[in-house]
Amino acid sequence: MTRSHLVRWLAAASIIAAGVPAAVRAQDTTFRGIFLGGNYDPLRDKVGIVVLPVAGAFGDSIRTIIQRDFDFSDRFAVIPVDSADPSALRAQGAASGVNYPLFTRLAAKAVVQITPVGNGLHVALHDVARAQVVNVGDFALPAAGLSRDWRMAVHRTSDEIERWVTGQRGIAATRIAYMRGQSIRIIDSDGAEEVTVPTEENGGSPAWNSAGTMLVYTTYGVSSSNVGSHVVLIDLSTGRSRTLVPPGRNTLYLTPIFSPDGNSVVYSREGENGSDLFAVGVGAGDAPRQLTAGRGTVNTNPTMSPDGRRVAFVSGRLGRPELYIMDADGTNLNVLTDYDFSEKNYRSDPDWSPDGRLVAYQERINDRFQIRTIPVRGGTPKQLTSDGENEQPSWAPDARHLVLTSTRSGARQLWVLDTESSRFRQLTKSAGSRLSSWSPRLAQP
Amino acid sequence: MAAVDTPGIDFPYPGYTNNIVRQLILRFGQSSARLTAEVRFVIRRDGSVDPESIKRVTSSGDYSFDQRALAAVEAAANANAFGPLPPGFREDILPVTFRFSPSLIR
Amino acid sequence: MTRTRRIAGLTTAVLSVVAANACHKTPPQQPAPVQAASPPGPNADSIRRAQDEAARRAAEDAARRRAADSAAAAARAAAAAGSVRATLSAAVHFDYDQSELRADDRALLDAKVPILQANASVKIRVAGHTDERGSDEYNLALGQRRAATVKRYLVDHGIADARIETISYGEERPVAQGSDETAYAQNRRAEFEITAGAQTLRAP
Repeated sequence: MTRSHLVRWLAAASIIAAGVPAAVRAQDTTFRGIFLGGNYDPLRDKVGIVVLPVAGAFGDSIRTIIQRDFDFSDRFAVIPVDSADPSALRAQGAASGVNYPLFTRLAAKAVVQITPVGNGLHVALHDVARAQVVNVGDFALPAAGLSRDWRMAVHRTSDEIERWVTGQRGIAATRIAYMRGQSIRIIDSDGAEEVTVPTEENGGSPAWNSAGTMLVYTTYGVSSSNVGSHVVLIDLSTGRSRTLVPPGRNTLYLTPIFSPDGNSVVYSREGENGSDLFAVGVGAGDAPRQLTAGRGTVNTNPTMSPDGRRVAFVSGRLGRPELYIMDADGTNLNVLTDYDFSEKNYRSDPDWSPDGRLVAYQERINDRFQIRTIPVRGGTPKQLTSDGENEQPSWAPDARHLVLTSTRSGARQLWVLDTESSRFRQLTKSAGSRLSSWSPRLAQP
Repeated sequence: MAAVDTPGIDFPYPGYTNNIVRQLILRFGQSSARLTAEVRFVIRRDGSVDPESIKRVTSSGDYSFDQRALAAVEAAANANAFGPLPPGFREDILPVTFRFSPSLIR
Repeated sequence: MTRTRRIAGLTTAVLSVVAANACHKTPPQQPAPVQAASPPGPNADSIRRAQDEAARRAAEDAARRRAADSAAAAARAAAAAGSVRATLSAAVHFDYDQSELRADDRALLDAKVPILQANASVKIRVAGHTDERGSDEYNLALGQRRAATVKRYLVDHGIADARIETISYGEERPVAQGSDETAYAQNRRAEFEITAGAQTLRAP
């Protein structure tokens, strides 16, 4: 992949952008800024970056994790350097010790130099064109090398370096919660460290709070101790959980989510008189408020806008599942997927993008589900998948990547999709993984 | 990617400028119109955009196209889409002139 | 949506002219804003359609009562042969994406009614299931709708509400493996579990 990136990058660099008439420029004598425009090619415009070999006991792991984080962000072209000959990477006699001419030839724009210091890392970011260090930072690591917390701290380092280069923090320091078998699991964004969450029997539909510290989920069916469906909150740092909405007679709870401010949970309640969305405060003793009047049809899968003002959800009120949007208090209800009316439509599992622009969802096309996005303001939906059956999209905090359930490799697995370059990356290796939810950026505990 | 034929100030941060281009093009959306408009705005050190600074510099000749370009800048600004200026850049503001030419976009 | 409700609707249909929908489906629930169509005025065609509809419903109800009677008779015979439990546990099935009861499934439920009436201590749990197509979570909701539909039918036929519990497993517990219509049809079901009074079951 790197070689073709190199060719593309060199080709792009030799293209002269379309000129603007000189008369316009003549008026800009006082403008002290930059001129941008043209087009954006997610494949061509990746920043070439080098991570120098890292010394120390865990140096190889640190370097591998960070290189992989840069690659998985889809914003960088990681340029491998032959670490068998480290002296070639050092400039002859130069103070900073980095061989800038070599890296210029390799088409790297940035070089990351990492030095283990005590339990932490000292990072220097070199700008190849300017032949100097433009950023330094120190990052603490937990003492237990290669532990789950240690890996997450290395991911935070990658994310901060990405922010130095692009202005946007990376998403390596995130996790994905999902269901596999009868349990809820959590896996790191790079596919490492799958753990099982200690939940009650028949727990499913996990969703994160904005702080990344808690999950909300529901149970379905009836447990071996005869407890019916209910809504549970679990604190991931302590493992302690409590019932938020207790079991009701002949009532099934589904698809709970936290509001962006973390103060309430919105969920679907299938009762004897119908299926509706409710909101309840997370403090003890708050009474649930009904948001929809479904009149006996199915209403599930709420997802909220990042400002918490609106809710998109699935309703069967037209006779088949479609997506709707309403205000968070249940007013101003409108159908979102009002294109292409047909009895055979089936649209569900919406997820509102973190930048507020799009709703991702699954739609049945030729008898198989595929992932689509639609602008919240209405407009033409865009199809993102076609291989196998693809469902249950969940946005990463960068509003660019999605995790989804796919049968493209045979069994159901979680895959990560870069919606700009259409790159697919398999996340889970164990079959039967589904119903995923991408965490926010996880702060240091 | 970047219009480099014009002498602007020295700003060797391709990752940062890539992101500006990407954020604006995403928000402008697709269009086959053979039109070009230029909008100017100023990014502050913390990544926010001075709302007074958002101005149309060159009109496309089409009012709604121009409005769409301005709206894309405003939407990106409201979403803090650009991020803080690179620490290595010494100025506290970065003026940007951005040319919207969607017919050139892949 | 159940056929018993149409006895009430029968009278209304004959006496008044049905404006927008003369058909038997529930009109779709439109969210605001709604495009309102102007209702047609009364005319001979509408009255004739309503009368035809009433006659059709009467004939169907008569057929259903005959089927129920014979099903009840079959139930008595089966019970006499010691398969009261089998009749009570027999699953009912559904069409794809639907929670409405089909005619033959209603007959199955009709056969359970006398057994439940004769065994006042019996309580049951109805579990709704779906095939694997469709969204996981929507299917959990659909399974619950199926269980609720079955319960409502039994309650409409005189079984006390408190004796019937409903739950859903969605697509999580298939009985048939496979990705073909045969397997799908078997999995779209409501199952019956006796949760109390199983020891003293007797024939109606």
